[in-house]
Formats: sequence, C-alpha cells, structure tokens
Amino acid sequence: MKKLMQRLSPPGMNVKAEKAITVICLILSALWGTLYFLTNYFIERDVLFTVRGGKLVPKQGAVISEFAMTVDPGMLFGFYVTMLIIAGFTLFRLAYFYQGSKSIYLMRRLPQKGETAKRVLALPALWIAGTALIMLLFTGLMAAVYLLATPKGCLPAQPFKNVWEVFACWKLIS
Amino acid sequence: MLEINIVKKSYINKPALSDVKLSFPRGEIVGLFGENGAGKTTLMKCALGLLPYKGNVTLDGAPITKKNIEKLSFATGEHSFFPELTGAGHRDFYKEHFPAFSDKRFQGLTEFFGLPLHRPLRALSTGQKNQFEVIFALSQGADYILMDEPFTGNDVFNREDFYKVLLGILEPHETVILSTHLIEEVADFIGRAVLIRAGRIVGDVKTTELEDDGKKLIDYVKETYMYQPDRVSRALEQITGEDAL
Repeated sequence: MKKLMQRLSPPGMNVKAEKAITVICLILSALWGTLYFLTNYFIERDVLFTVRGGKLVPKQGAVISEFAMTVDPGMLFGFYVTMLIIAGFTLFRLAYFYQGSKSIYLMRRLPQKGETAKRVLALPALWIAGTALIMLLFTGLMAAVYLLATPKGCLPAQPFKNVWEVFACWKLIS
Repeated sequence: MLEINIVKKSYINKPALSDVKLSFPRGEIVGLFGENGAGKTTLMKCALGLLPYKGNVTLDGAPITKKNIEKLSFATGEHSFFPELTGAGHRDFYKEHFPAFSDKRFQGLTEFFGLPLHRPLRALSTGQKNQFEVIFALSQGADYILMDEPFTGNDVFNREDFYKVLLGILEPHETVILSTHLIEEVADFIGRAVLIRAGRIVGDVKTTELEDDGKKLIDYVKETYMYQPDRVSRALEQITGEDAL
C-alpha cells in the first residue's frame, strides 16, 4: 500500500500530511453531517408525537416528511468541502516539482507518458472517489436511522422519493 | 547524431535563439560558451523539448519524442532532482524509468565523491548537490549528456576531479555538451568549442584545429567575441579620471 502511494505521488513527497488532513476532514464531515441530520430529524419527529396521559404517543395520521425533505444537501456540506480540499492537493503536488529545484525537468524527460499527471492526479482522484463512497455510506446510515427511529405508521408511502436531492450540492451555493 | 536545424526561440518578442544550426556526432566532448544571456541554456532546453521553439531537433533523424528522449540526459545548475528524495531513492527512480541506467557507474561515482546515499538531497551542500546532479545525468544511460553550468558552487579541485573522471568513464558512443563560463578550466578536456552570442552561433571549432594553428582556446574565444583588452583600463580612466596604467 505504501509503495503504491509512493508510486502515485511526487518522488520524496511526504503523503502523511495529505492523509492526516483527509482523515480529519472526513471525521469532521461525519460529525457535522450527524449533528445536521439529528437536529433536522428530531424537529420533524417531534411533530409526530403528542403527550397523552403523561406519555409520548404518535399523533393520529401524522406522517413524517420524506427523507429528502427531512435533510437537505447541507448534511453533506463537510464531504463536499473535503473533496474540494483534496482537489487542492493537486496544486501542491504540481508545485512540488518547482520547489527547491526544477524536478519538473526530470519529470518531462521521462520516457513514460503521463507520469507527471499520474503522480499529481491519481491519488487525489482516488481519495475523492473514496470520500464520495464514504458520503454514500454515511447517507445510507442516516437513512437507516430515519427508517428505524420513525414509528412505522408515521412513515410516508415513499420515504425515499427524490432521494437524489440530498446530493444536490449546487443547492448549497444558491 | 543530434541535429539542431534552424532553431528559433523568442521570449516575448525578444529573440533568444536565431536560426541555430548545429550537429553533434557521437563520442564528442563539446564546450558551449557564451556570455550570460547568450542563449546557452535556452539552446539546451529547446534540444530537450523543455521549451517550445521553431525549427526542429532530431536524434538519428527522428524528432525528440518520448520514444527517444531517454537517449538525452540533462544536468543543470538549477538542479532537476527531487530535494526530499535520497540519493538511493533517486537511483531506484532512475532504474525504474530509464532501462539503460548504469548502477555500476552510479555506485562508482558516488563512492568516489563520498556522497551520502541515505540523506535527502536538500540536506546536502551545494557542491554535493551538483555532484549528484551530474552523476544522475552520467548514469542515466544516455548517448547525449547535456550539462548546463553543472559545477557552480564546486571548488576548483572538485571540478578538476570531475573532468578527469568524466574523461575516464565516457564510452565512445557518449557525447557530452558542457555549457560553462570556465573556458580555461575545460580547455584540455573538450574536443570542440561552440560559441554562442546573442542567440547566434558565432564560432564552432575543434580543439585540434586550434592546436594546429598554435592558438589557445581562450584566445580564440576572445578573438571571436572581439574582446577589447584595453576596456578595463579605459573604464578605470573614465571612473577615476587618472591614467590607469
């Protein structure tokens, strides 16, 4: 694994810093996403219940919003920021070939095609793909919480209708 | 044969190379001389494809591409190694990417200069960095070894050693093109001198021809550049208002 990472990085570059930043960003993203989901979910869930005889019971006919309405792309904000930060690593990787020497000359003299691009782009691309996968798994986990923590009678007919809207990151900008 | 055919290069409308035409057969040690900004570095970078240019550069009749680029190596005073990588790391990198890399030559030269193999190159002295830069170029397995001011920062003894080692290790098919200001120092080691001025080739001579004419290389260079021997005394006169000599 270490060798593969070395082969996909500028020679001599310390990949540990990139790894550490990525892991920290992923942890923070998951924390942010969990808090965001739970806050939104419990606001929706609280509406489903009423107090009867000192006990919390589901309201007659109350139905929770669909999953995509309960949470919005804000839940995944951290993951998108993580992906942007990882994309930024490519700039540092490219700058590495100009720092302290002009090792870019050596890279450009290599007989193998695309060696510089490989060492600049491949690992960040893999990490972005990994982050996207973790984001999907995280969304799945939150969906499971939504399904299991909501009383069955309070679930809508199609709880995951328009679920793709959770991933509509462009809505974060507007 | 490395051929540079009518190569032109400009930097923002300022000509750096004008119709340069040169050819280098295998087995020569060539000195490339010229003032700062004459175009020596630009010429080398164009030959290596590191800069865009007009004209063409061919190696054995074929343009320089990924297919034959390994036949050219480059040692530059700017350094082209990876500062964070060790000497041993560089050896592995070169072995992986240049099939003709000579481990024997690399080992012999690093031992001769007593270079540490397990320290990042950034931690070494300028002289040691230069030595590594040149050793990588010599060990790559290239037929044409281009060196651009590779000894800046090395002491005179070190440089002398290097020239001697260079003469001792070069194979008959290897050509070295050495750009330097140290004309007198390399005079005994080169077989041909190419002079460049303001982007044009102004002189190209074999050192044997100079010997036959009883001329020293430095005199040929001064003559070609129309060096004025009295320019220092004239300048001093102008500055001090007194007769300099």
